[in-house]
Amino acid sequence: MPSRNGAKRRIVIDNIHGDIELTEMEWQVVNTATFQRLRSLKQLGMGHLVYPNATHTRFAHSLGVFKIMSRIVDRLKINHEGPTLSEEDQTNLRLAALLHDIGHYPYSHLMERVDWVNLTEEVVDGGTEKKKLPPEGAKYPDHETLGRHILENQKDIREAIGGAEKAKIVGELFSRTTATDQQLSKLIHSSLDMDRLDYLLRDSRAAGVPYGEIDLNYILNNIRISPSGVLGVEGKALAAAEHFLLARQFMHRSVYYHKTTYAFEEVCRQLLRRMKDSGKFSILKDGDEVLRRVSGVQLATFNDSYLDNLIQEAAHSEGDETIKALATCIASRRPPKLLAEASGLQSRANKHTKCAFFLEKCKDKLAALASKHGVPLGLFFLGGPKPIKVEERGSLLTPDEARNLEPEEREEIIKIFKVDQEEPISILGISDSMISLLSNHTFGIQRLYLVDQGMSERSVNDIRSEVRSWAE
Amino acid sequence: MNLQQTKLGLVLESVNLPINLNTFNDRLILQKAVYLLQEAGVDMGYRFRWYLRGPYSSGLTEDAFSIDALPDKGQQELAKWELDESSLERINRVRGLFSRKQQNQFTRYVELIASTLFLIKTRQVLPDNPEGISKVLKENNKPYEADEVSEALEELKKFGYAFP
Repeated sequence: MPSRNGAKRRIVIDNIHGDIELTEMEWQVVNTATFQRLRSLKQLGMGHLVYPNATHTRFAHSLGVFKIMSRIVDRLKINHEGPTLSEEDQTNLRLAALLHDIGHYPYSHLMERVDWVNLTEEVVDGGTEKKKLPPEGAKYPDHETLGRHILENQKDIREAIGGAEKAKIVGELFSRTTATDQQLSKLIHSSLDMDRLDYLLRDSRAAGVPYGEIDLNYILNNIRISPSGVLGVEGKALAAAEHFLLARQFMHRSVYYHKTTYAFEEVCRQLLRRMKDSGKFSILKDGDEVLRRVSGVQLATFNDSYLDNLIQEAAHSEGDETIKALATCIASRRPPKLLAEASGLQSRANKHTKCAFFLEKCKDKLAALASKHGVPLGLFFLGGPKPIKVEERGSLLTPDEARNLEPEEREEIIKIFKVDQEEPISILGISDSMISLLSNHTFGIQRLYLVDQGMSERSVNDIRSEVRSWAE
Repeated sequence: MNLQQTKLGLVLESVNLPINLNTFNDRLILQKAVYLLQEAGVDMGYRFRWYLRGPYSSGLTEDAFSIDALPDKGQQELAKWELDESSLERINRVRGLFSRKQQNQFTRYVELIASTLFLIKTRQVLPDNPEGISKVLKENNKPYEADEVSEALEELKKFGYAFP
C-alpha cells in the first residue's frame, strides 16, 4: 500500500491505537531478531500474577509509543510556531520512539535495580557496629544505556536503521545524551511523554481496570510547540492533562503497586540480590557480563524465560534456605502474606508521616519478632515503593518553590497555553487547576510482608496481630 | 532510605557537601558534584542526561528531595553505615575538586568541569580541542571561553579523569 509520499507502507493493527503505519525501513527494523526479542518481555513485570490478562509485551508497547510519536510529529507540522522539524528529525523521532525500550531487561524493571535492593537484614537495627555498603563493582546498567549499547553492537538492527552513525543518533535521542537537538529530546522525555501516554491506556485495558483511560485524542489534538520551542497543551485541554496526571496516580495505586504484584516483585528483587551476592548461581555477575550478553547472539534469550529459569534454579537449589523459600514463593505462586500496611497522602513539610513511623517501628522491632517466632529474618521484607507523585516535579515542591525553579528544573512539568499567550506556563501556576492544589504532596505506602513457607493461618495471624499496632 | 540513597548521603558527607536544596545554585552543585564523583568511579546508580546546564539526573533530584524530607535529613540512618574502602579511595582521588566550594565562582567552575567531561565522555567533542568544546558550550548558552575550557581540561587530568 503506498504512503503519503508514495513509498510502500506496512500496517500493524493494534488493540489500543488501531492501524499503525510503518515505512519499509521501520518495518525492517521491527523484523530484526533484536526487536522481536521485545515480544518475550512482559510489559508489567509480574502483574499477570494478579491480573491474568496483563501479559502484553514491550513489543506492543513500543509500537504504541511509535504510533503516538507519529501522530505528534504530524500534529506539529500544522501546529508549530517554533523551528520546523526536518524530514530527518521526523524519521529520527519515530525511530527513537520505536526503539526506546530496546534495552529492557527480562521482566522489564525487575532486574535493572538489583544492585540497590536493601536486604531485610540491612534494614533492621541491630548491634552498634556500623554496616558497610557493598563494595564498588560494575553494576547492572540501566535499560537506556543497554539500549544504546544494543543499537551500536547488534548488526541486524544497526543495519536496518541505516548504519552506525544513525544508530548513534537514535540512541542518543532516546537516552538524551546529546547536547544538540534538545527540543527533539524533550518530546520524548517531557512530563507529557508518549511512553506514559501509551502505557496508561495499554496497561489499564490489559489489567481490566478503568483508571488509565486517558483522553489521548484530545491531548494529542491540542499539543503545540511555542516560538521558543516549548511543548505545551492548549488551555481548553487542561482537564485532559489533569486527568492524565491523576490517572497515573490511580494506576500506581491500583495496578503497579498492587499489594500482591508488588510483593512478588519485591521477593524477586530480594532473591536476585541474594543470588548475585552468593556467587553460586548462573545469574549474570556484573554489568560487564550484562553488556557482553546483550552484544552477542545470547541477546535473543535474554528475556522473561531467562529470569524464570533463574527462579527455578534457585527453587531447586540446596544450601541457602532463604533463597530457596523466596524462589519457591514465586515459582508456586504462593503470595507473601501482607502483615501490615501504612499509607496516606503526605507533604514534604510533614516529616513524621504514618509511613515513616511504621518503618521506624519495623526497623526497631522486626529482628526480635523474627527470633521470637523462629522465622528467618530474610523471609520478612519491607515493601516501600517510591512515593507516588501526581506531577513529576510539582509533587515535591510547594507552588512557590515551583514558581522559582530554573528553566531546566521546570522542563519536566506539563505546560499549558493560556488564551492568547504565545508561551505556555507550568500547570502548577494555574490557580484553578487541582494539580496545583496537590503540589507538594505524594502518596506514600509502607508494607511489611512475610514469606510464610506454608505456616498455619493461625501462626501468621499471631504475627499479624503483633505487627498491626506498629502501623497505627 | 534505600541503599542508593544511603550511598548518596554518605558520599556527599565525605566531600563535605551535605544535601541542600534551598537555591538553584545549591541544586546545581549537587547535580554536578554527583556526576563528577560517579565519573571518578563512585557508582551511585544515577543516569545523567544533558539539560540546559549540563549533566542532570532527575532520579538524583528525586532522591535528594526524599532525603531532605526525612526527619533529620537521614542523619540518624546514615550514622549506621560507612562507605566501602574502594569508594573512599576513589573519593579521595577527586576530593580536591570540591575544596573551592567557599569561593564565589564555584558554581560556574563545577558546571564547566562537569559539562566538559560529559561532552567528552559522550564523544560529542574531542578532548584536545578547547575551541571546539567552547563552541558547543556556547551553542548551549554557556558562555565559556576556550582558555577556561583549557583550564577545566587540566583540572580533569590533574584529578585523574581518563578521556576516551
